[in-house]
Amino acid sequence: MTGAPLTAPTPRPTPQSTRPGARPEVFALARRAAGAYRRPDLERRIDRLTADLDARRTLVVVAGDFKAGKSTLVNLLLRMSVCPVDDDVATAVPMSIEHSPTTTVTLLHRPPRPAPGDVASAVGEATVPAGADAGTSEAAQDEVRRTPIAFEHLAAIVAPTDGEVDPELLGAEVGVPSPLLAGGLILADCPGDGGLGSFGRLRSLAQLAGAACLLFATDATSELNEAELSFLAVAAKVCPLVLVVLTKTDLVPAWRDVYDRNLGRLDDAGLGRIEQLAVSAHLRAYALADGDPGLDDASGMGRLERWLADRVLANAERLADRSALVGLLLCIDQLERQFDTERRALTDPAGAAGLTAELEEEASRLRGLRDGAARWQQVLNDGSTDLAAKVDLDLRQRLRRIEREAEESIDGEDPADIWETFEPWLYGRVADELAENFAILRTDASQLARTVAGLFHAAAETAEARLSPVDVAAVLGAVDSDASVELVRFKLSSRAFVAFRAGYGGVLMAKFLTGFGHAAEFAPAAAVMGILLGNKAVKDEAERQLNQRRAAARNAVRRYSGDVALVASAQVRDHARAVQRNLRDHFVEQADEFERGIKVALEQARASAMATGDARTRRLKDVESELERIRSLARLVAAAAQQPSPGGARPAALVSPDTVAVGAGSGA
Amino acid sequence: MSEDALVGRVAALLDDLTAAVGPGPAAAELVAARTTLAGPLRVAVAGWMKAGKSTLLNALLGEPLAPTDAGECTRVLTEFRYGPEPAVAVVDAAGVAHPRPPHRDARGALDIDLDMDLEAVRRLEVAWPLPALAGVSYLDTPGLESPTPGLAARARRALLGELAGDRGVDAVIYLMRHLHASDVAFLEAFAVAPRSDSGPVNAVGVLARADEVGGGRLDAPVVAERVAARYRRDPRLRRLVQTVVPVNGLLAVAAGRLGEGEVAALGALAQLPGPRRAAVLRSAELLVAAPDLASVSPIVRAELIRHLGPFGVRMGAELLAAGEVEPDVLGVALRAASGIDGLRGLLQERFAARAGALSARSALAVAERVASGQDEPVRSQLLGQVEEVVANAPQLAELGALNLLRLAPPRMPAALLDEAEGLLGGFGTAPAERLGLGRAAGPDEVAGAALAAADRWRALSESPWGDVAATRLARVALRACEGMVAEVAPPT
Repeated sequence: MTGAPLTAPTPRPTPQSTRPGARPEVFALARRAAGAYRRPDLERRIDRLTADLDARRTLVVVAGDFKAGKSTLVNLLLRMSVCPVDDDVATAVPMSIEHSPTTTVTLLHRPPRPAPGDVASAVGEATVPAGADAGTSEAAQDEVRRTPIAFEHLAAIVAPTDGEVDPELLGAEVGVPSPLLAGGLILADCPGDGGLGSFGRLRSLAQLAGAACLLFATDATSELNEAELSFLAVAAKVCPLVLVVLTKTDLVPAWRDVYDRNLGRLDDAGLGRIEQLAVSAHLRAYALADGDPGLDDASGMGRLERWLADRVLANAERLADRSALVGLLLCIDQLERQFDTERRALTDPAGAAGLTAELEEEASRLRGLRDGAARWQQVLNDGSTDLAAKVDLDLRQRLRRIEREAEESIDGEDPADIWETFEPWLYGRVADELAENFAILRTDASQLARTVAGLFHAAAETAEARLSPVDVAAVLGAVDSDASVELVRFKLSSRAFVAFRAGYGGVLMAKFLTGFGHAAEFAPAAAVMGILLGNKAVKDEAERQLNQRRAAARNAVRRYSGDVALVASAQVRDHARAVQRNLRDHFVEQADEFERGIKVALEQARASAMATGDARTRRLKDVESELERIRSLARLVAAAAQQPSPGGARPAALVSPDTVAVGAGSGA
Repeated sequence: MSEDALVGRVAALLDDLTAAVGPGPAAAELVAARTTLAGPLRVAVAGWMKAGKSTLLNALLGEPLAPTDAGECTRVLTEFRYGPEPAVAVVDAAGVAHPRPPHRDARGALDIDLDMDLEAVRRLEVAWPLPALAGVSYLDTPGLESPTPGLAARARRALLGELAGDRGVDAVIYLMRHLHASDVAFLEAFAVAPRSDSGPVNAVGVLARADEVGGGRLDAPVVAERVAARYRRDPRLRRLVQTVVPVNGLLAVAAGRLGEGEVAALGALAQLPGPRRAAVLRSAELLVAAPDLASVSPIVRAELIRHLGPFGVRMGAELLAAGEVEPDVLGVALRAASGIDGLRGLLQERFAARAGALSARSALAVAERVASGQDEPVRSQLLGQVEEVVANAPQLAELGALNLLRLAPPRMPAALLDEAEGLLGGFGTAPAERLGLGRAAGPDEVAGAALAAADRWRALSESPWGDVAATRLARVALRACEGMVAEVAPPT
């Protein structure tokens, strides 16, 4: 079916129709209320909430070993031929595919580097103490060259038959009018070249950091092997949801045995939570060609689509909806307080002076909150410093461990013999440890955000208990979206990707290779000559050369590890700073809103205190009915926000901050 | 020196060495090497877990003796060699053989109760009266799987080291599945090569499960050949194996034992109209459920596709439907499609024709190792003896040069390197094959070509521009040419 266009999709309910909760009319209503009640700040906030909701994307990474059927799987999920498929040639460039009304393809190229091979400067650049906020990574993102091309040219570029890919090509972004993607799903097809052992692994893991789900393709011709299992073990720590997709079941009559053995191996590896679905993309291709729905059922692809809709998309939407609704609830809460204050002033004119004093005192407390000396700010500052230090230490310990393992390998072997396998192994190991290290960074950053949110709300005495824990989700949402700078929402265009490719993939590798490449070339000849001639001089010389090779190999490993540490700890520091900055901005802004709310309430209270007789009665009636309206809106929103998770059988995710926050909410 | 003479000299050398080192483990090693020298060519089959080793072995044996159920079945090193009667023995760590009843299961696979801890088993020895085992014995090695490269490589080398230390291996077949050339696993599989007595000269790669490469479609062999051709060109693989051939082991085994019921089932499939046939063969489930194959029971259908694989069933039905093949010779046609004969021919050409030299080479490696382990002055004396045999054996120089050609080719135009490889017997050892002429070439033509080649390589060997490696290669090639000239046109 190479290159063959697939038949047009049969009309079917799109995932969009399954969207839960977030009713646009609730947001529109609240926005109108904010306008009517002279709160432009709240209007802006609500606009932002809706914009975030619309721009929401759910990243699903498709990874797997070379020739596991990833591209075919993606094509038949989309029901259109997007990824090039070939019996021998593999996709060599990462591709991200999202919804677009028309088919578009954009190539992303690495920004031109200062001087080719000038490794020191490139590494140095990445480690510039980011005193300047618009640091290097930001600049790097701006410089990524984006080139739109025609779809017909895509295959030749991402899966060239001669295997020679433009080394400057970072990836391709494809937009297609696929109903599957209309709900905000992005599929990232990771290249299979290099399998799971080396850069393929690094790239896949880097992408996973921001993914909602990993679809791991493994073909039914054999059960999961060690490399696949070890990849899954790391992936399960980094990504909240992992599904093993058993492909090519049409090719293997005994695929059910493989299916069972895969589950057994997952269990044995302590990965029993990972589910598995069996599919045959080819059967769907036939089904589409023949218009045979029965055959499509047999392909299992429909079950995979439903799984994506129920377990991934619905879940992601629920989290996003909930966080948007909680944000909205906070806005409504402020409106409610505003009217409640006025009602108190109206019902008890005698107490108006006291009320005013009370409000003024509150306003000054809120000003104190914005002050840098406020406790929450101190905790935030200390916390982010500790965060960076802790994660950096963890990173160094991990790298040290890898160095030790590597040296053990080198000391027991002739590096020339093992180098070809050793090198990718080293990259793979580093990728694993980096991924776990970054997972710690994310979890700890979420923890910090929650602590700070607790302190802030306690000090502000604003958010009621029922809101406070859930509100953390909103805070985290803000932090998280900004954290995407480094790790989260890992779109191909994001800075993180550039940093990973340019930092870990490109620069370091080039340095590594030039440092060692040549020694390995000549080794086998020397070894063979020793056998043929069998004389002592050759053997002594061989011994000397072996020692030299070992020393060179050890140096290469240390240098690589040192470079990784430099780049990665710079990223850790950047990330910790971003967390700090975003949290501070978020809460300061909130303090501003509260203050403005009090100001409006104060004015109202003063005006009400002066009103008399009928005017006051009328106003009180108005206020009370406004309050009733606001409260019913609040009830509506609260009900939507606290909907129980439908079918959320998945145990608490390990690292997703949103999930952590929601868990805390339901526990409070 | 002919191959027989070489083997004779090596045998004598081993005897001398045995006497010189006195009784002990070293002597035992030499005696074992001496026994192997006279024995059949020993071919090891190595590869990744689930690469299809046992299936390929069964195809080579022509009998499904090795258990192949999905899952990792081969856990112990198993040697298959010729024997007048079926006999199975478990050899324990101490080298003692314990006979076991040669029981086979319903599918014909050996079902041996080891009756011993897996760790305590050194190897399983299977003797069977099979024509395919005449002159060659096969070693089925446990599947490999790797976590950390260094450690895994060591464990693996220990495995093949034991193989080598025990009896020696003359040739290795590496099974590879369809992988990307930059894959770790791809190269890791070769880390097993015991460098001392192995090299590309006695190794071939097999792209196993070739039918799966092309998704089991009818053009799978074409696709598999394309992939194999890419592997053959890969510079890293050239250093490791002579060549790479695709083999569909499953089909080869099935084709050799095609039952009447299976032929009838394929015939029923062939009766279906083409598009309908393609439709029921889209998956095993569809075939079993197809309503328009009433004459074939669902159980037979399931067994058929399990036995032949999707490609085999498609191919068989297609051949019958096209009327190109009569049902009674369907097995032969399927066997031809499996590629197994190509592999056999290759083993014959590359290994069997050099059996003497390869065996001598393995034995000399043992001799050299034992000699190096002695104390001076015995060490120098024995090593001198070994070197004397090596120096006087042009076959060994040829093998060495062939290995070097692949491992570290001298700086020379590619066309010359190819010619040298041919002259050294890299593509077959008959003079016509060495000279790149057709098999039908007459003696005069061969003699003429040999003389011309000799002139060319003499000039190269004397060229002041050649570096050491190029000159050495040219000398070995020249010697090969001279040998052929002498062989074809003996001096009158």
